[in-house]
Amino acid sequence: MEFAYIGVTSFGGGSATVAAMRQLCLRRQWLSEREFVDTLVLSRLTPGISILAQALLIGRSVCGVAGMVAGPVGLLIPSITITIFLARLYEWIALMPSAEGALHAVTGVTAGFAVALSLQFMRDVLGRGRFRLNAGIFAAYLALSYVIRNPLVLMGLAIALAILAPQLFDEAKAAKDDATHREEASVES
Amino acid sequence: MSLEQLFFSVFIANLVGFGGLSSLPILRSQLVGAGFAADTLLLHSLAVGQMSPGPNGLYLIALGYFVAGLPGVAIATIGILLPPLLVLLLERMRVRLLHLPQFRAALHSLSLTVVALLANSSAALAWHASTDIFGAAMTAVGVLLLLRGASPLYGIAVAVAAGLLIYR
Repeated sequence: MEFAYIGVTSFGGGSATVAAMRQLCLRRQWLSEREFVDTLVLSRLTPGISILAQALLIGRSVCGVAGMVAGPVGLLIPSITITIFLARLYEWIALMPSAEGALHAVTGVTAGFAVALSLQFMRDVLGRGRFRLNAGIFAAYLALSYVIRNPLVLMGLAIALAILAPQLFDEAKAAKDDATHREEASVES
Repeated sequence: MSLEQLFFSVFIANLVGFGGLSSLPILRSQLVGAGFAADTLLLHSLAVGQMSPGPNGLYLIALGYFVAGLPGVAIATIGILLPPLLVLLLERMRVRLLHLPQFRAALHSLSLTVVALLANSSAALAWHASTDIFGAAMTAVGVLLLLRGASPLYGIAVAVAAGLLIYR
């Protein structure tokens, strides 16, 4: 069973992994389509890397506690091994004087990746519910992030504001639509 | 930075984020607090993280390596594995929690802060990488390539080629 999990991991990151897990679950009849979507939605709400939470849920429904360990661990082992290897290589290359220019370029491109990923994330989050209100709150938080240097304090404030004024953050309808869309999309694919 | 500090930083950063790069702002503030050249370290870790397969959030494994070698990798892995355990708790309470407007509002408000903090941090990273025109140009190339759906590996290959050509 654990080997089957490790098999999942040879695929690329993000949505490709979710697609691979879905195929595996359906083919081996571990979960129904509906149950799979449930694990997806639930793990999106969980803190941390959501694919790990999903692997945990799937692992549990396949073979209990052993599966809860095998799922996330099996998912991580190949990535971690490759990461260690690449990090060593990177360190080694960084020591060579002739690599200075290439390294400078790589940091530039990587900073660009970070900006692009932030923009994609921003589009996703601002699109939930009422866009203008979201954009306003986002701008306020962004301004605050330059005043309050500790991100944890800002997050605490955000939660407090949400509890005091939940109507500002009402995305109930949007979220429901989103869940149905996701379900439709996964049925189609 | 001691191993305990590393664990604590990775754990907290994952606990209040939702995967991807959302752990970056917290981590950045912790690294700055510990006296690291945070932006350089983060950019190197992100570069390695983008080249490896798996979710983007795994750049933290590379960070663990750069901070403390293999023990750092082990510590970062544990810090990454723990927060998803909360899914079990959420599953128990989902019916009650999901209908609570305050809970939904808190999640949404939290995502808005995370995005705002991330915008702040990635702007800082871009600024850090743009020490000259070449760095700024490569940053722009990175943004465009990823937004157009190119593989990060392709972007890094382009950067290496450009770097070798220009600094010959």
